[in-house]
Amino acid sequence: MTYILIINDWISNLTAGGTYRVQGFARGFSTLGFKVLITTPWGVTEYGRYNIVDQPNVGSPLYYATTGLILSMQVIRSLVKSGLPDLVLVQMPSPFTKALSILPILKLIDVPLVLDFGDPWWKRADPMLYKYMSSKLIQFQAKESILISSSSKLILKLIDSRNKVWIPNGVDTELFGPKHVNQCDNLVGFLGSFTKRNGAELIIPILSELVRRGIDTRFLLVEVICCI
Amino acid sequence: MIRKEAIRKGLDRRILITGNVPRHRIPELLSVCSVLVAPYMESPELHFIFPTKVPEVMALRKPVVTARLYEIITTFKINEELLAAEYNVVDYANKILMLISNNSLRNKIAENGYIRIRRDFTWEKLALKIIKSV
Repeated sequence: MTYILIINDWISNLTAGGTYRVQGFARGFSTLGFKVLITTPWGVTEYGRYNIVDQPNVGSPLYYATTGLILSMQVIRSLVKSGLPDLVLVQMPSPFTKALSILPILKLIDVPLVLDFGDPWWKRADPMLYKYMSSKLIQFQAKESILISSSSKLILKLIDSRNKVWIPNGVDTELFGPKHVNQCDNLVGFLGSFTKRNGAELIIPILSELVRRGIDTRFLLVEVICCI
Repeated sequence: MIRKEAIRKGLDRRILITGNVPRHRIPELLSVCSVLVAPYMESPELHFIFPTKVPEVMALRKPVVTARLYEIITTFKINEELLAAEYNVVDYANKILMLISNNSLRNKIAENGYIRIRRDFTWEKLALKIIKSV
């Protein structure tokens, strides 16, 4: 195989691929010697090259109003630009955009389709009808795919497919590796945004408890804007 | 909010808040620490998510205490590659204390976690897994 097409709904303006998982796969395939194109409703980019694409925020009215139609056209543009890919990987979980809108094209050209799930496709607050419809749509798309991959073993259990593989979120080992810096004894590090979901409400109480037990400790809170 | 709470409890001199930092600076900052903590809430939806930060900090060869989320406890060897705590103050404090007070355990967890990440969590290997599965 020489060329892999990744479908996502957003890309970074500095490097091809927006989400962490799309970037990771693109890096991985690229390291294995594949050319990787990342196609979104708003542009076609090649991984590893400098790309500038103007795009609306994911979830904005413009995004929802245009994604289905424009993405199909961008996929056709990718095919014209680089020929038939050996594999198409669609970054899910959106049930109503991305894979659904391009399925007819992929069926026509008979290219293997991989659906990759990073997160659940439903949210706790979603209405029951939406949950029902989205689940049906996901199952339909799964049947049309050659492989279902996900970082969540629980999500894989919910999808009816003969070929499923668990793919955790990988690590950029060039960036995240041991550093030669002086370590401070009893310094505890926290990484992430200060949200309830990240357990921010426990930080000071844990520190307080350690101090109460006579431990001379400090906390370093490294704040980043990211989800998990 | 965190700083206010720390001030209220007289702990403000024991916390250092970096503010938002660029991603490339994160490894160096965290490497100064002797123990890392990622206390995710154990909410139902979080059990469906694989938290990226956990393998990233393990790759720094640092011991980590984190939540008992489904994806964590079914992926890593608990007490060998990382420590997992219940979502309460006492259990997190206990686990952090175990690592702070025991050099041997701290080094073992850090080393095992690091080896595991280098072995199974590079994007190259994961992309190859996709190729082989198709």
